[in-house]
Amino acid sequence: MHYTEGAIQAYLDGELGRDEAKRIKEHIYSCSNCKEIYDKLKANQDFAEDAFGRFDDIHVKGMAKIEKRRSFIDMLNKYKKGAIAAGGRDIHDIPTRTGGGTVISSDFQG
Amino acid sequence: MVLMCYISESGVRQIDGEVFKEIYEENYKRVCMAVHIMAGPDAEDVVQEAFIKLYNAPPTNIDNLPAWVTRVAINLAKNRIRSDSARRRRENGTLMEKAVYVDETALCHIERQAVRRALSRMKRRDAEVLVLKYSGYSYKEISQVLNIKKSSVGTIIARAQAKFKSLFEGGE
Repeated sequence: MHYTEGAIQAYLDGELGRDEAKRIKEHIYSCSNCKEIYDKLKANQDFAEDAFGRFDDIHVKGMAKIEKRRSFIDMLNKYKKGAIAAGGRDIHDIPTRTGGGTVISSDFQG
Repeated sequence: MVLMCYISESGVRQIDGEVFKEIYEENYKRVCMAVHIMAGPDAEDVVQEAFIKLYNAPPTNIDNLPAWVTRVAINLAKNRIRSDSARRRRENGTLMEKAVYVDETALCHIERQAVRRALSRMKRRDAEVLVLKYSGYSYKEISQVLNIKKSSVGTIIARAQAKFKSLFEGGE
Protein backbone atom coordinates (compact mmCIF):
# COMPACT_ATOMS: atom_id res chain seq x y z
CA MET A 1 0.00 0.00 0.00
CA HIS A 2 1.29 3.47 -0.91
CA TYR A 3 0.15 6.99 -0.14
CA THR A 4 -0.73 9.47 -2.85
CA GLU A 5 1.21 12.66 -3.49
CA GLY A 6 -1.78 14.60 -2.24
CA ALA A 7 -1.87 12.75 1.08
CA ILE A 8 1.86 13.17 1.65
CA GLN A 9 1.59 16.86 0.74
CA ALA A 10 -1.28 17.27 3.23
CA TYR A 11 0.93 15.60 5.82
CA LEU A 12 3.72 18.08 5.04
CA ASP A 13 1.27 20.94 5.40
CA GLY A 14 0.02 19.76 8.78
CA GLU A 15 -3.46 19.26 7.35
CA LEU A 16 -4.01 15.75 8.69
CA GLY A 17 -5.39 14.61 12.00
CA ARG A 18 -2.95 13.29 14.56
CA ASP A 19 -3.65 9.60 13.94
CA GLU A 20 -3.44 9.82 10.19
CA ALA A 21 -0.30 11.93 10.36
CA LYS A 22 1.28 9.32 12.61
CA ARG A 23 0.36 6.52 10.20
CA ILE A 24 1.91 8.34 7.25
CA LYS A 25 5.00 9.25 9.21
CA GLU A 26 5.60 5.64 10.21
CA HIS A 27 4.86 4.40 6.71
CA ILE A 28 7.33 6.80 5.10
CA TYR A 29 10.15 5.40 7.20
CA SER A 30 9.45 1.86 6.15
CA CYS A 31 8.53 2.36 2.49
CA SER A 32 11.22 3.48 0.08
CA ASN A 33 8.67 4.33 -2.59
CA CYS A 34 6.76 6.76 -0.37
CA LYS A 35 9.96 8.06 1.19
CA GLU A 36 11.15 9.02 -2.27
CA ILE A 37 7.92 10.92 -2.95
CA TYR A 38 8.14 12.55 0.46
CA ASP A 39 11.72 13.71 -0.15
CA LYS A 40 10.83 15.19 -3.51
CA LEU A 41 7.76 16.99 -2.15
CA LYS A 42 9.71 18.23 0.85
CA ALA A 43 12.44 19.66 -1.38
CA ASN A 44 9.84 21.44 -3.52
CA GLN A 45 8.11 22.71 -0.39
CA ASP A 46 11.36 24.05 1.09
CA PHE A 47 12.09 25.77 -2.19
CA ALA A 48 8.65 27.39 -2.39
CA GLU A 49 8.69 28.38 1.28
CA ASP A 50 11.97 30.13 0.72
CA ALA A 51 10.71 31.95 -2.37
CA PHE A 52 7.39 33.00 -0.84
CA GLY A 53 9.19 33.94 2.37
CA ARG A 54 10.25 37.04 0.44
CA PHE A 55 6.76 38.37 1.07
CA ASP A 56 6.67 37.77 4.80
CA ASP A 57 7.34 41.34 5.77
CA ILE A 58 4.97 43.12 3.44
CA HIS A 59 3.63 46.42 4.63
CA VAL A 60 -0.12 46.71 4.90
CA LYS A 61 -1.72 50.11 5.15
CA GLY A 62 -5.20 49.09 6.20
CA MET A 63 -8.37 50.90 5.34
CA ALA A 64 -8.08 54.01 7.50
CA LYS A 65 -6.08 55.53 4.64
CA ILE A 66 -9.08 55.77 2.41
CA GLU A 67 -11.30 57.76 4.71
CA LYS A 68 -11.83 60.25 1.93
CA ARG A 69 -13.79 57.78 -0.08
CA ARG A 70 -17.44 58.46 0.42
CA SER A 71 -18.56 54.91 0.88
CA PHE A 72 -15.99 54.48 3.55
CA ILE A 73 -17.04 57.64 5.38
CA ASP A 74 -20.52 56.19 5.71
CA MET A 75 -19.00 53.12 7.24
CA LEU A 76 -16.84 55.16 9.61
CA ASN A 77 -19.76 57.24 10.76
CA LYS A 78 -21.67 54.15 11.51
CA TYR A 79 -18.98 52.42 13.48
CA LYS A 80 -17.10 55.28 15.04
CA LYS A 81 -16.50 53.31 18.14
CA GLY A 82 -15.06 50.44 16.18
CA ALA A 83 -11.43 49.61 15.82
CA ILE A 84 -11.36 50.40 12.13
CA ALA A 85 -12.58 53.97 12.57
CA ALA A 86 -10.29 54.70 15.48
CA GLY A 87 -7.37 53.17 13.67
CA GLY A 88 -6.33 52.18 17.14
CA ARG A 89 -6.17 48.50 16.47
CA ASP A 90 -3.03 47.77 14.57
CA ILE A 91 -3.76 45.85 11.42
CA HIS A 92 -0.29 44.33 11.62
CA ASP A 93 -1.33 42.37 14.64
CA ILE A 94 -3.82 40.33 12.71
CA PRO A 95 -2.56 36.78 12.75
CA THR A 96 -1.76 35.05 9.52
CA ARG A 97 -0.06 31.84 8.70
CA THR A 98 2.74 31.49 6.25
CA GLY A 99 4.53 28.42 5.12
CA GLY A 100 4.05 25.28 7.08
CA GLY A 101 3.18 26.90 10.38
CA THR A 102 0.07 26.35 12.36
CA VAL A 103 -3.22 27.95 11.56
CA ILE A 104 -3.80 30.83 13.91
CA SER A 105 -6.68 32.62 12.29
CA SER A 106 -10.03 31.01 12.71
CA ASP A 107 -11.73 28.98 10.04
CA PHE A 108 -14.19 30.41 7.60
CA GLN A 109 -17.77 30.18 8.64
CA GLY A 110 -20.05 27.97 6.70
CA MET B 1 -24.53 32.01 12.52
CA VAL B 2 -26.07 35.36 13.35
CA LEU B 3 -27.94 37.34 10.75
CA MET B 4 -25.20 38.69 8.52
CA CYS B 5 -27.03 40.93 6.13
CA TYR B 6 -30.12 43.05 6.43
CA ILE B 7 -32.08 45.52 4.35
CA SER B 8 -31.62 49.09 5.57
CA GLU B 9 -34.44 51.63 5.87
CA SER B 10 -33.61 52.98 2.46
CA GLY B 11 -33.99 49.51 1.04
CA VAL B 12 -30.31 48.87 0.52
CA ARG B 13 -28.88 45.50 1.32
CA GLN B 14 -26.12 45.88 3.89
CA ILE B 15 -23.87 43.68 5.91
CA ASP B 16 -24.10 43.69 9.68
CA GLY B 17 -21.42 46.01 11.05
CA GLU B 18 -20.05 43.60 13.61
CA VAL B 19 -19.83 40.85 11.03
CA PHE B 20 -18.01 43.17 8.67
CA LYS B 21 -15.56 44.20 11.35
CA GLU B 22 -14.84 40.61 12.24
CA ILE B 23 -14.28 39.60 8.62
CA TYR B 24 -12.08 42.64 8.11
CA GLU B 25 -9.92 41.97 11.13
CA GLU B 26 -9.47 38.29 10.43
CA ASN B 27 -8.89 38.53 6.70
CA TYR B 28 -7.65 41.91 5.56
CA LYS B 29 -3.97 41.25 6.03
CA ARG B 30 -3.89 37.88 4.38
CA VAL B 31 -5.96 39.08 1.43
CA CYS B 32 -3.39 41.88 1.09
CA MET B 33 -0.65 39.30 1.17
CA ALA B 34 -2.26 37.29 -1.62
CA VAL B 35 -2.83 40.37 -3.77
CA HIS B 36 0.66 41.64 -3.01
CA ILE B 37 2.21 38.37 -4.17
CA MET B 38 0.13 38.45 -7.33
CA ALA B 39 0.16 42.07 -8.35
CA GLY B 40 2.71 44.01 -6.32
CA PRO B 41 2.75 46.35 -3.34
CA ASP B 42 0.78 49.16 -4.98
CA ALA B 43 -2.24 46.89 -5.38
CA GLU B 44 -3.62 47.27 -1.87
CA ASP B 45 -6.37 49.50 -3.21
CA VAL B 46 -7.95 46.47 -4.88
CA VAL B 47 -8.23 44.86 -1.45
CA GLN B 48 -9.87 48.00 -0.12
CA GLU B 49 -12.20 47.93 -3.09
CA ALA B 50 -13.13 44.32 -2.35
CA PHE B 51 -13.93 45.10 1.29
CA ILE B 52 -15.95 48.17 0.32
CA LYS B 53 -17.86 45.96 -2.04
CA LEU B 54 -18.46 43.54 0.81
CA TYR B 55 -19.76 46.39 2.92
CA ASN B 56 -21.84 48.20 0.33
CA ALA B 57 -23.00 45.34 -1.82
CA PRO B 58 -22.70 42.04 0.00
CA PRO B 59 -23.49 39.03 -2.16
CA THR B 60 -26.82 37.29 -1.98
CA ASN B 61 -26.94 33.56 -1.33
CA ILE B 62 -23.35 33.38 -0.21
CA ASP B 63 -22.75 32.20 3.29
CA ASN B 64 -19.00 32.26 3.13
CA LEU B 65 -18.15 35.95 3.07
CA PRO B 66 -14.39 35.64 3.79
CA ALA B 67 -14.04 33.32 0.79
CA TRP B 68 -16.13 35.71 -1.30
CA VAL B 69 -14.12 38.81 -0.44
CA THR B 70 -10.88 36.93 -1.13
CA ARG B 71 -12.21 35.82 -4.51
CA VAL B 72 -13.27 39.38 -5.40
CA ALA B 73 -9.86 40.78 -4.44
CA ILE B 74 -8.04 38.12 -6.46
CA ASN B 75 -10.15 38.87 -9.52
CA LEU B 76 -9.56 42.60 -9.16
CA ALA B 77 -5.83 41.92 -8.81
CA LYS B 78 -5.90 39.88 -12.01
CA ASN B 79 -7.54 42.75 -13.85
CA ARG B 80 -4.89 45.02 -12.43
CA ILE B 81 -2.11 42.76 -13.74
CA ARG B 82 -3.74 42.70 -17.16
CA SER B 83 -4.09 46.47 -17.38
CA ASP B 84 -0.57 46.97 -16.07
CA SER B 85 0.94 44.71 -18.68
CA ALA B 86 -1.10 46.37 -21.43
CA ARG B 87 0.17 49.73 -20.27
CA ARG B 88 3.69 48.39 -20.13
CA ARG B 89 3.42 47.20 -23.70
CA ARG B 90 2.19 50.60 -24.79
CA GLU B 91 4.98 52.36 -23.02
CA ASN B 92 7.59 50.00 -24.37
CA GLY B 93 8.61 48.30 -21.17
CA THR B 94 9.92 51.34 -19.39
CA LEU B 95 7.15 51.75 -16.87
CA MET B 96 7.91 48.81 -14.64
CA GLU B 97 11.45 50.01 -14.16
CA LYS B 98 10.17 53.38 -13.03
CA ALA B 99 7.22 52.08 -11.09
CA VAL B 100 6.82 53.57 -7.68
CA TYR B 101 7.36 50.53 -5.56
CA VAL B 102 7.83 52.60 -2.46
CA ASP B 103 7.49 49.65 -0.14
CA GLU B 104 10.05 47.49 -1.85
CA THR B 105 13.75 48.13 -1.96
CA ALA B 106 15.37 47.46 -5.30
CA LEU B 107 16.82 44.09 -4.34
CA CYS B 108 13.69 42.97 -2.59
CA HIS B 109 11.68 44.05 -5.63
CA ILE B 110 13.80 41.99 -8.02
CA GLU B 111 13.50 38.92 -5.80
CA ARG B 112 9.75 39.27 -5.50
CA GLN B 113 9.33 39.91 -9.20
CA ALA B 114 11.06 36.58 -9.86
CA VAL B 115 8.33 34.86 -7.84
CA ARG B 116 5.60 36.77 -9.68
CA ARG B 117 7.17 35.91 -13.02
CA ALA B 118 7.19 32.19 -12.25
CA LEU B 119 3.58 32.37 -11.04
CA SER B 120 2.50 34.20 -14.18
CA ARG B 121 3.69 31.27 -16.25
CA MET B 122 1.64 28.75 -14.32
CA LYS B 123 -1.91 27.63 -14.83
CA ARG B 124 -4.20 30.09 -13.10
CA ARG B 125 -5.60 27.64 -10.59
CA ASP B 126 -2.18 26.30 -9.64
CA ALA B 127 -0.76 29.79 -9.15
CA GLU B 128 -3.73 30.83 -7.03
CA VAL B 129 -3.49 27.75 -4.84
CA LEU B 130 0.13 28.62 -4.06
CA VAL B 131 -0.65 32.29 -3.49
CA LEU B 132 -3.39 31.39 -1.01
CA LYS B 133 -1.33 28.72 0.71
CA TYR B 134 1.53 31.13 1.32
CA SER B 135 -0.84 33.87 2.42
CA GLY B 136 -1.97 31.64 5.28
CA TYR B 137 -5.08 29.90 3.95
CA SER B 138 -5.84 26.35 5.06
CA TYR B 139 -6.82 23.59 2.63
CA LYS B 140 -10.46 24.04 3.56
CA GLU B 141 -10.30 27.77 2.95
CA ILE B 142 -8.43 27.35 -0.33
CA SER B 143 -11.10 24.93 -1.52
CA GLN B 144 -13.80 27.46 -0.64
CA VAL B 145 -12.14 30.42 -2.33
CA LEU B 146 -11.33 28.53 -5.52
CA ASN B 147 -14.40 26.35 -5.48
CA ILE B 148 -12.49 23.08 -5.70
CA LYS B 149 -12.73 19.91 -3.66
CA LYS B 150 -10.82 20.01 -0.39
CA SER B 151 -9.56 16.50 -1.04
CA SER B 152 -7.79 17.64 -4.20
CA VAL B 153 -5.96 20.61 -2.66
CA GLY B 154 -2.96 18.53 -1.54
CA THR B 155 -2.45 17.05 -4.99
CA ILE B 156 -2.74 20.44 -6.67
CA ILE B 157 -0.21 21.95 -4.24
CA ALA B 158 2.23 19.07 -4.75
CA ARG B 159 2.16 19.50 -8.53
CA ALA B 160 2.07 23.29 -8.43
CA GLN B 161 5.16 23.44 -6.22
CA ALA B 162 7.08 21.14 -8.55
CA LYS B 163 6.08 23.33 -11.48
CA PHE B 164 6.90 26.50 -9.59
CA LYS B 165 10.38 25.23 -8.76
CA SER B 166 11.19 24.27 -12.34
CA LEU B 167 9.86 27.57 -13.74
CA PHE B 168 11.65 29.58 -11.09
CA GLU B 169 14.96 27.86 -11.62
CA GLY B 170 14.60 28.17 -15.37
CA GLY B 171 13.78 31.84 -15.20
CA GLU B 172 16.16 33.26 -12.69
